[in-house]
Amino acid sequence: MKGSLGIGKRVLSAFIELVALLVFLYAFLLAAEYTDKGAVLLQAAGTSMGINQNSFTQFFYFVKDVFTGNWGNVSSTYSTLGGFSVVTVVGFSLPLTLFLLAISSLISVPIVVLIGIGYSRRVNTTTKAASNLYIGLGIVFPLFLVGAFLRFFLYSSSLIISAPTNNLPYWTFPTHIPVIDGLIHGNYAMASAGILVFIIPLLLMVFFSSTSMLQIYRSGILKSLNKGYLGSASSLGLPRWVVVRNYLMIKGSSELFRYIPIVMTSILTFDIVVEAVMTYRGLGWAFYESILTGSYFGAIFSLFVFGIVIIITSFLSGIIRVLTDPEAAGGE
Amino acid sequence: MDRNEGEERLEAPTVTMVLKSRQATKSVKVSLANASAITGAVITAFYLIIGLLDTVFPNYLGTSGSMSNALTAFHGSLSSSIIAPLGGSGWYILGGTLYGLPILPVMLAAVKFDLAFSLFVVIVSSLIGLVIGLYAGFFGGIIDRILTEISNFFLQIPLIGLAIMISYLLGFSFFDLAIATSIAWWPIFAVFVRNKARSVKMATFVASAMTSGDTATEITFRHIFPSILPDFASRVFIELGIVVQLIATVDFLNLDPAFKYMPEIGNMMSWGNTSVVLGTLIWWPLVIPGLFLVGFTLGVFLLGAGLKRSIRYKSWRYDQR
Repeated sequence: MKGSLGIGKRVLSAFIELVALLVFLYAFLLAAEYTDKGAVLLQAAGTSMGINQNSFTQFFYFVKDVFTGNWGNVSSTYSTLGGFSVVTVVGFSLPLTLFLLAISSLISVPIVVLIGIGYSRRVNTTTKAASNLYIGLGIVFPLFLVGAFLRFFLYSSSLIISAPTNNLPYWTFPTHIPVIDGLIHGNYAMASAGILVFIIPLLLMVFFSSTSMLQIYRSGILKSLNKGYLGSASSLGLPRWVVVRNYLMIKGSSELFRYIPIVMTSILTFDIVVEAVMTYRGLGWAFYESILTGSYFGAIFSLFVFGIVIIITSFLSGIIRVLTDPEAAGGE
Repeated sequence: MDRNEGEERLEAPTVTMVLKSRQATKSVKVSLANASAITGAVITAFYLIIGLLDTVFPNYLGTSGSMSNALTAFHGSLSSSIIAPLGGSGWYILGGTLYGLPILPVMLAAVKFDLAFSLFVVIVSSLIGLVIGLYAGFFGGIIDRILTEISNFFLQIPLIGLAIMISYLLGFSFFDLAIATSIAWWPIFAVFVRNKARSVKMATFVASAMTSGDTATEITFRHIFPSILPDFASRVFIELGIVVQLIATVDFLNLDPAFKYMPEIGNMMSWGNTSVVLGTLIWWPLVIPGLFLVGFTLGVFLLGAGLKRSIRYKSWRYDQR
């Protein structure tokens, strides 16, 4: 518990990252001003975002707008939510993305741990070869390709899984997630339709997230295999499974938490691609649609929300790492 | 006493056999590692040759001008008369798209674009990442903190989102997207190299170099870099495959208008996908370019993995002397 988990340091670090993110997005806005497309868009946004002020004043206007939810509007050509405010679009799409990320993580993490344990033995085993093959498939096969193949087979077969474009409406309440809202209101038809639309994006996210996480988890386990305390634990007569549970699994998880920004960046990149390919109307789809329709504010604030998700995840994972890995706590 | 002597006589050949068996196992492993590297090298060389063929013999695919112009003309008119400049019927051996465009010549022309793009991105981003990562890992302290925070900052935004937004600002062209992707990609190399450099920094040979008065640049590039080279080389090859996937993804999703009529694998798959969306289920324009892309990624992945094990084995053998 040295340094109270370093919470102060982590809060400061998260704050700096947030400011850096705001400056970065603001720089995007400034740069856009000098492009034809950007000039028209920013003029359309009016003076409420402080466009006609000097750079410092503009930045503070920008920060004020970010925190008061004045994020501009999406283009009228944006699909169902055309012409709505960016906040409304994010409000409807973010829950779907968080739902997808949460459920896929709940499934991927046990897969990662189970496959990762296969690396706890020094000798080469069939399990290890199979795990390597699993990781290799995740690297070699591009996500969009697998998604496109699945789309193809969905269209050409009579599977009960809904065609990806057959999405449900945004207007479900209170969570905006059709599966949950359907269950809340007893509308089981909507809930089951929601599940059918959700299955393929979920499977894709589980496979690609788990292969991405497994690479880092494996690295953590392999690194700790040479540590002296593992030899001591084994020579003390501790059963193999105890060594794996008390040391190796923790080291693997610790490595995962250590590299969480890279892991999250990969997972959110997968998310954007999955949502775009499968027409799953979450935040990734909002970003994709914003780019296609030239909705500059929609694109930058979608990235802003993704950035916030990564900052929060990094903050929490830093604390969890210190709590679970004594070596990391010592290092802090 | 006799018993002990007997045991010794029995043990000696047993130990020799065990050692020989271990050596044999090691040899098999090394051969396998090399087999992987060789297979990867052969596949990668195949793609490189295809890319170079287009450069050396610009008209070998049957087009009178560049493939980009031919594709622009083809998609602009969607007229079957434009197919003729793309070659004869022999080019249809792998089938055609929904609109009658032959897959094979466009796929072969795509290799040059994809390779040029991914090589540019990987070379630029790996060099930036290498220098930043080495210095951050070697110096530690405040320099490490600042460089790591800068790297982490770029990792706060999904790679594809960052690359597309930067390209959006730069003006959307082939080169703009390559620059944008390099800007988004270098932190991956920087974080990787920094962590490797930090672990190597603890080694005694680095301490010896420091005490003998070597400068920071000498230590990082003469001592630390060679130690992390196998892992770095492997990473570079793996990222080469991933960058090709990225550009294909961007084109498949039609995120960059500059690529609309370029001979690019993702673009071809996008044309194949159009047929699916339109309800005409022809699988080959989607599947064949897709597998061609997987072939390249597999090649560089095998080459990277094989090289890593090969170089490691060589350094192990060197240590045994």
